[in-house]
Amino acid sequence: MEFLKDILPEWITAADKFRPVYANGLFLIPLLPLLGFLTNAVSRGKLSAGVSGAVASIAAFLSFVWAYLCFASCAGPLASVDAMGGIHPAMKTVPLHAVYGTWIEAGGFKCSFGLMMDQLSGVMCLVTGVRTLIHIYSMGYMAHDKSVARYFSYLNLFLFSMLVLILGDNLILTFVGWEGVGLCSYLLIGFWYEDGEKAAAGMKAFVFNRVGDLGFILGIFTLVAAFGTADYIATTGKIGTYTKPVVGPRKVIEVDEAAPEGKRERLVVVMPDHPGLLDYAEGLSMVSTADSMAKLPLGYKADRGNFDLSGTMGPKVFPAGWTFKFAITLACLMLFIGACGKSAQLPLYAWLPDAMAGPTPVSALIHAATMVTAGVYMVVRMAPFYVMAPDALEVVAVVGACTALFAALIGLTQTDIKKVLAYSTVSQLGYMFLGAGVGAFALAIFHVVTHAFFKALLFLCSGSVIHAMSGEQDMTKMGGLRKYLPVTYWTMLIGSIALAGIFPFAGWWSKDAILANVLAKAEHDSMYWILYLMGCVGAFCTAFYSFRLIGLTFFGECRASDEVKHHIHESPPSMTVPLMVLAVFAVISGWWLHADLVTFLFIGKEAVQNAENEHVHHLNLLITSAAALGGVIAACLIYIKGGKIPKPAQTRNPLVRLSFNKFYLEWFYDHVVTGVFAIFAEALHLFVDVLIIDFLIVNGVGKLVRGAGGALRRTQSGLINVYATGILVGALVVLFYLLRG
Amino acid sequence: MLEGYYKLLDQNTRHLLLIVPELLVTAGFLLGLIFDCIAPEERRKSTAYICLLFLVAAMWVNVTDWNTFVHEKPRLELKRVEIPKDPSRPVVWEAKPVQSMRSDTLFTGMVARDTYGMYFKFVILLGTAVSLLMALNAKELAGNHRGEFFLLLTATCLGGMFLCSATNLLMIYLSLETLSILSYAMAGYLRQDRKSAEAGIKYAIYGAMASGVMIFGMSYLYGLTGSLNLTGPDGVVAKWFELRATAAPSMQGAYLAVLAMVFVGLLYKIAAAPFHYWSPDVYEGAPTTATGFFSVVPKAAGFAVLVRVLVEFFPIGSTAGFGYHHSKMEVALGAIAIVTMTLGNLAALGQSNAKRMLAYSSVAHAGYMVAGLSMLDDGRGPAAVLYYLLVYLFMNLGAFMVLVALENFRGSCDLKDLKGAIRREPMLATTLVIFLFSLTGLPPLAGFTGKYLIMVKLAERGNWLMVLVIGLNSVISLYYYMRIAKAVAIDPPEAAATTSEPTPAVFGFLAAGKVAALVLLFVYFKPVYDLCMSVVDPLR
Repeated sequence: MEFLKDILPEWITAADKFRPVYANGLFLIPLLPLLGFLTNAVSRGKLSAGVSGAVASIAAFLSFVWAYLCFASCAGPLASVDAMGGIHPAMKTVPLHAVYGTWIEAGGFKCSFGLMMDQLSGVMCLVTGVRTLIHIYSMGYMAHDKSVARYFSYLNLFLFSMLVLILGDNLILTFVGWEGVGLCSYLLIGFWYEDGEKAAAGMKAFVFNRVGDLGFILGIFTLVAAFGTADYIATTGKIGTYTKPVVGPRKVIEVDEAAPEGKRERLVVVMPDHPGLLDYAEGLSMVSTADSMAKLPLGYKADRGNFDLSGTMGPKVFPAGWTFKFAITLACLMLFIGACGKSAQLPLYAWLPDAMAGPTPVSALIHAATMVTAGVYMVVRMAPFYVMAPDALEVVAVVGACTALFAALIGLTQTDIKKVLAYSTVSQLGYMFLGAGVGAFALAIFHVVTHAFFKALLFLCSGSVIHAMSGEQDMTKMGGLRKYLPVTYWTMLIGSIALAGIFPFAGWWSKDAILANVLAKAEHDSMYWILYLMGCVGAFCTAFYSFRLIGLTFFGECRASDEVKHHIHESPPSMTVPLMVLAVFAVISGWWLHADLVTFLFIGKEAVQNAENEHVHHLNLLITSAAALGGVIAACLIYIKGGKIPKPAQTRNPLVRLSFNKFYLEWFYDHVVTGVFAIFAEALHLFVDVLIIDFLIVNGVGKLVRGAGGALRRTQSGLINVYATGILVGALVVLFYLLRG
Repeated sequence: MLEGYYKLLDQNTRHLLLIVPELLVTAGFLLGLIFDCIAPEERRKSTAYICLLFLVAAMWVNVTDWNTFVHEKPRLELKRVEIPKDPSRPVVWEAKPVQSMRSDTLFTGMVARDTYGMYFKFVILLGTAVSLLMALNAKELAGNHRGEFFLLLTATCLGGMFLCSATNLLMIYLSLETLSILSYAMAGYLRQDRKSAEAGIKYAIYGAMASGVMIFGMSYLYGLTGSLNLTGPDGVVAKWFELRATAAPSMQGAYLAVLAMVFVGLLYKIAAAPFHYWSPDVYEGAPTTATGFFSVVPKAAGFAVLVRVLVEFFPIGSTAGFGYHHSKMEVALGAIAIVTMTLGNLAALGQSNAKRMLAYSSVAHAGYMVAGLSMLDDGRGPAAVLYYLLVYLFMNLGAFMVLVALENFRGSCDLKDLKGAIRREPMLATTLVIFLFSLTGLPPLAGFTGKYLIMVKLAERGNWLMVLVIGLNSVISLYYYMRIAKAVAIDPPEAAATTSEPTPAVFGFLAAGKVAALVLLFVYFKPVYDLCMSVVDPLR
């Protein structure tokens, strides 16, 4: 990623000199959107729509610029690092890290307010750069809404939360951002809260996320119990602002004087002071092989170096005999449940398609640039642990592949333009997890990046279409818009090609590489053949539904009513310019980044080596290209050339019905799961609420307490002799107790 | 003979320079008294400003004093190393360099000069200064004689200041009486009001009773040990330990009983059960300003001397050898704490007058603090109490202050009269709700931290019963605190305002300051708590 640095003047990136400045200034990145939020929140209704939009956009833009500068300064390795004896092996460069103060200090556990920018969080920060374009687009899209200030304040709060999530230097701060993002998505999805259905969609998102959050919290607890810290990497222990780069765990050859001849040298792992979770992960993989890992008990203490976990709660909290491997697998699975909730994986995917109820730019923001990628980010952040828990990694891969295929199949028959894109997002997130599940963490992030560009583009294009169609979202009522909306048409076509995964557009580079890794893995483990197959069928479906969307929307006769037809117009420049910018990125970002990004991100090296297997690469290239082209051609034949207008609601074809009704999974949720919960809740309500709490505790104790209070009040009669007697009796009781011996 | 006398005189004169805050308050009181006598009636309000000026000056000197004191060099101090079980062997003393701050005893052992006393003096001066500002703007006190009230406040403060640092039985008694007798006068200040007069009389009667028991106990102590000074090699404490070490097992309890009589007087001052009976009647009858003052300043002084005496006789941390008596005392104090807080909270439930409700609530709060004192194995229990007192100053005085402001235009503190007061005074009523939240112990306010620190200490000792009791009591207290909050903030007004005079701005400023203090003490509790620890530490 040296080019990020190269385009800046040298004095800005004189990294060693300015490191403290950038590190201390990390807080500016989330602070600016927060200020934007406060400005819009405090002055609600008093700023004009343009001004509040401008405030929000400028805040987002400045934050992006600062993030870019910080990122550029930590993008390259430092000259001075070698002098320190090495760098953090989990991170090929030294992260910017600043600790601003102690937050929680209880018992032996300590957690501070700290921000950290390494390659991973840096890339994620830049991805949220798409947000600036979404802000600008929103200024046009929301211009006529009556509560623009509220909209922009939520938007900025959303960014703030996401940046805290990304930049937090410990799991708990990440969780704060995680929850903040959840809250903001609720607020934004239910933005038009007068509409009961939209408000309900917001609640649905919130509830589904809550299920995942529970898993996330349990995962954090497990890790904190086992390792005694929630920090990602070592801090210098001192609370200042800027913490010096910390040397991670490293192997040192030590001369043992007492040992017999020939065995005098031995390998010792030296840990930094106050190691973080990732240091422990690294250290664990150094002190043990895969086999001995499985036997390492919780609370392990190495006899050399300060690899000391004997003070942690692990042995006390978990049943005896639990090993690190077990605890880590458990934690990874729990964290993945959290990721499933936030990134809409099976079985917690259902909120995301409903989240389309929010304003379209919000859909773009949620789907492309921020929220849903949080799950991927978290899994990748915890990659050193996932690597140590192959079972958990397998679960990630299976869930990812299933989701990728499942959502793509649903996407085939949807008629709502935004719903198609929503299921496509779910499906693409599945690919990201599939990538992470086969160990290609860097490729997962690569797909996050390319997906951010083309999915934001597609959503904003669909917004432009909906804007032009006076709010109509049903594709069966569109058609022939090509000549009315030329800019939207061309940009959306580019986005669709990128989504379909046609060479050399962005989507191809990342998706193809992920599938290549799955294929490489399949050579060792036959289960992955199934996953690979699912991925390829998913790729075919993806190509099919994205060109079905193009065909139904832009080709054929216009099926809109005359009134709507009369109003069709191309969107204003504030909306089309972001489209064009994004379209450029949707074309070039894959080619532009593929060589750098993957090697740049940590652990990526391993993954790239997998994919560099020539034979696998060529085979995969053939299969995926055939799948993607096949999908495109099939869709073109049916919907552009054939001019078919689908009516899935009336069809009798059982497969189409199954897909259109989302495999009846939501019906299952609504009736079976909800029903079971409702019965359970009713029973709890009757037993706990009505009987125990209301009857016994609230009313019973309340009556008791009031009765006692009444009786006591009578002793306070105001009569001096009564008081004196009371004092005397009390004093005598105390005296008697003391005198008794 | 005469030479020794001169030497003593010289020493005492020099010691005068070390009690400048007390001298300043005395000067303020005297100047105010003179001014009040000679000034024309309409200018007598200025008496308060004179007193206030000197109080603030005293506060400032107190803080600078603290600063110089802490940075003084360590000195040698005699410490009891060991008290042998065998009476024939002498008690072993050892001279150690101590970073300690308590070796300064002034006036041949009458008062100590230590950060512990300075901490409490700060609390007392602050409480008095705020009470003065309240008194200045309270309508109930308006009249030609209000100057007297200011002077009474200032003089009470003086008594409290001496009580904080007294280390001599007589000095303790004298300053306690100064504090008490002036309080009686303040309680009965509204001569035309029957309730106020009743409060004054009742306060005096119980006060006399408690002091009677206390001085009875003190005379025993003097008789036993032949000394009035608490500290020092020949002091009451050292002798008491020596005597007890040699006494027969059956007599051990008697030594505790003598102490218990002294503690009666002190527990009376902080209104711990069963010596709390006076407080609701007095608090209700006294002018609201005085009630606020009583619930904070004399209570802080009472706690100051209680903790000091307690820690002298039951040294923190040195449970070895005295374990039995320690645990006995801890159980007694724990029981008193439980009874006090439960009684206070239960009785507060049914009250219909906000002032009386807060009176009972202050009994309950004394219970929480005594709970903190029931753990003497290290300094953290007492330190938590010190922290709690500071927090309590802000929240309780804050609540009373807003009541004074609301009473100014509603005429009484009955809940039905307070209804809907938020319409007229939105800001003050809001701060009242905040103070009530803090009194309940809800975050993010310092009232939470105070309770939390005490409960953590209890939990560490494994005293889960008391943790549970405090938790339940907090729930009960929430109910009646919220009754006040509901009346003030939610209910529609029933009574009409008795006056249209605007509420003085000083109330708003003070309330805002107190809310800020509560939030700050919540966020930055660690430095303050560490300070409390460092203050309690030298008492070991």
